[in-house]
Amino acid sequence: MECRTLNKLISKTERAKELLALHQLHGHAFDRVGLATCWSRLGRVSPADRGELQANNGARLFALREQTSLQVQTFDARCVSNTLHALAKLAIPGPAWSLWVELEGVALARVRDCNPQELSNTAWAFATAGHAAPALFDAMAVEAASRVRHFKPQEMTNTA
Amino acid sequence: MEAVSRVRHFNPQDMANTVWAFATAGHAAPALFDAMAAEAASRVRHFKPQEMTDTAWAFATAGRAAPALFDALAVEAASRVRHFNPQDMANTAWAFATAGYGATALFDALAVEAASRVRHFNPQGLANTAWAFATAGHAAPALFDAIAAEAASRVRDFTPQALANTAWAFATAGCAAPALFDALAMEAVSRVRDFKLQGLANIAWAFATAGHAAPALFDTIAAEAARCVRDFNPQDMANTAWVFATAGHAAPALFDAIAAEAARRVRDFKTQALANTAWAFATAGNAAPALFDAIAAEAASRVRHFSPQEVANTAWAFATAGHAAPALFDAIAAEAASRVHHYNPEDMANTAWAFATAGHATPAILDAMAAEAARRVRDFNPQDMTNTVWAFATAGHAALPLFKAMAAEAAQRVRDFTPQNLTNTAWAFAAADALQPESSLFDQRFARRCETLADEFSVANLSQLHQWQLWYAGERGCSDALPGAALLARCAAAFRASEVTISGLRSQVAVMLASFGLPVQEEVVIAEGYSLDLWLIAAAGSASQSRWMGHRTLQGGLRGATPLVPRCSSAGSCSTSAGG
Repeated sequence: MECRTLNKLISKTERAKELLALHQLHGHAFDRVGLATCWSRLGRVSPADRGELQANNGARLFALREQTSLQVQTFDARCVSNTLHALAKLAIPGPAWSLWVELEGVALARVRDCNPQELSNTAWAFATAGHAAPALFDAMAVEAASRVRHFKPQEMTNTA
Repeated sequence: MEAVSRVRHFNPQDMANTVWAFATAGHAAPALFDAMAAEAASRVRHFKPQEMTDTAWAFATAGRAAPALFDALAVEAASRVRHFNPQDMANTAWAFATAGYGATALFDALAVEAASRVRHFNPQGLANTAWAFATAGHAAPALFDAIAAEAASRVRDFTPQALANTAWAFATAGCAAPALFDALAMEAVSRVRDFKLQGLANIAWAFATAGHAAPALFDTIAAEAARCVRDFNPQDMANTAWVFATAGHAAPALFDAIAAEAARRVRDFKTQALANTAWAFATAGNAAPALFDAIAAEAASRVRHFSPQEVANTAWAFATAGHAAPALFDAIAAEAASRVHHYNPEDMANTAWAFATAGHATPAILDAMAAEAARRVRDFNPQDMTNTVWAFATAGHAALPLFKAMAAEAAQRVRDFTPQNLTNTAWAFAAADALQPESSLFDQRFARRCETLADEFSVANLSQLHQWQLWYAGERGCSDALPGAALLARCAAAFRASEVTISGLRSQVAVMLASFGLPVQEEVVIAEGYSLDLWLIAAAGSASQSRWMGHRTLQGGLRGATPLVPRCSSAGSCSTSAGG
């Protein structure tokens, strides 16, 4: 299956079991967008599904987590932000995954590429999960402050 | 796609989420917050309620001042408060209170809206809202009533912290809510092991401050606190003692535990903690001699660092406890005499009262206080005036200019005097024999006030008034403007019926006089109404009478130092309060 087709399929899938089944069957074909989209959809599953994912310190997510770690360096700002946002929402109990540290490193390298939503989602994810990331927060603070200052009202489209 | 996304700017949700994240992470970013504040303030009308709430919450939590932003949020939130959900309301109130922005119109709007939807608040929302209004000092009686009714029926769902915060809020706001406090007390007792020590201390403070009796709760807290008093820091010890003393709840085992621990660590106490601990033990009537000795030594060496209120409370405590501490009183006298202009009237009155009660009448401090009090007499309230003249009369310290100034001021304000103020003051002027001819203190206004309060006088008050009358009419020959005959008769009866404490010294003197062949009678009331401590029976069968240590010259009497005092042991009660 082509990546684009696969990504569309992932983005339309709502149930955790179906998403994990897609990954089991076609994971080898997941690119960075596919992985980030899969995490993003998992972050939005129902509370019952989320409960199943949280069981045994997130054991069902092991394969997806491993593959993400292998490809995380290819993630762009959007993929990093979406994945972090989903991980924070999933609130997997137990010891922190090393994936957080890997994503933190990539996020730090992509800070200047982030749009405001990606910056705020990344900050929100680390704050919500309670993972300290001082270097990343310093960098995001500088970047966000400079963006806010450079804002011109006539360019703003209120999306609130 | 990437190019488009990069030119996109922060919308309200991005801003709210970003500052929320930095505040939650506890990551200081002042430049970012300042930039966000400036930007958000200009676009606040585009913010949804939750975005306004999160933004205010973030700035309050981060402790970053943003007055223009809070002003803009206050106006916008007040105009749209109907669209706020309960959590938004609670969090907005919390944020403004925490940040210290008054925002009267916003709090008014929140109070009305929250009161009408209080059933939809969760327990934390109820607790936070009450906490916020109490912290902001914004009166909202209808809201507090609504929260009290709602919370009382749902205390089981409250976390220990929410229970403690709610109690704290109602006590701080001064809102009486007996049903709620009863419910809080029962719940706290049943879940005492879930509380942290600080939470227990907070809830006890609230009950003490609200004056709401909760014996089971205090017994439970006392047992818990006594068990772990070694883990207390000095402030915890002082606060705990203060709470139990203020609540008037006897907890001897706890006080003993605190006394032992505090005496050992008294050097670690700050001055306020020293003063409050002494105040608490004196108020609770817990003797604790080793602790008082330790505090006395420590306070004497650090008296320069005590505030006037701390000095007054400490002196008051030692006097009330009857714990002799001459070195401490000397140190206080030296310090207070040079700083008396920093003392407010209450501090002066209480300090003077303490020196008089302790029998430590150091002239230097009394002279300094007399001059200062006379100069600022208009600032004294009736209680302060009363305590001051009582102290000087009891100390036998001549201070006629002070009494003259007090008389002139008291005459103008005699309608504000309580029964105890009135009779203590009258007694003091009598005891000091300190009435200037031109004084109008004891005129028709005084007599009318006595008649107005006639039914409220205690036996001690009436007894004092009798002594005043003996002096005013009997010695000064002033029969104008006396209270009515019926009241005076009650005064005389009360005086005759009052119990007398015979001191050991007086009894020894009586024995000694008898051994010299001078038989005496103790406690004799003569026809004029005076009570004589010792009645010396002359050998020739005529009698010469004396008042033990009574300086007023009676017929054939002796002169002494302390006028009228032994007969009126309850005359000078002085109340003071320590800062909790």
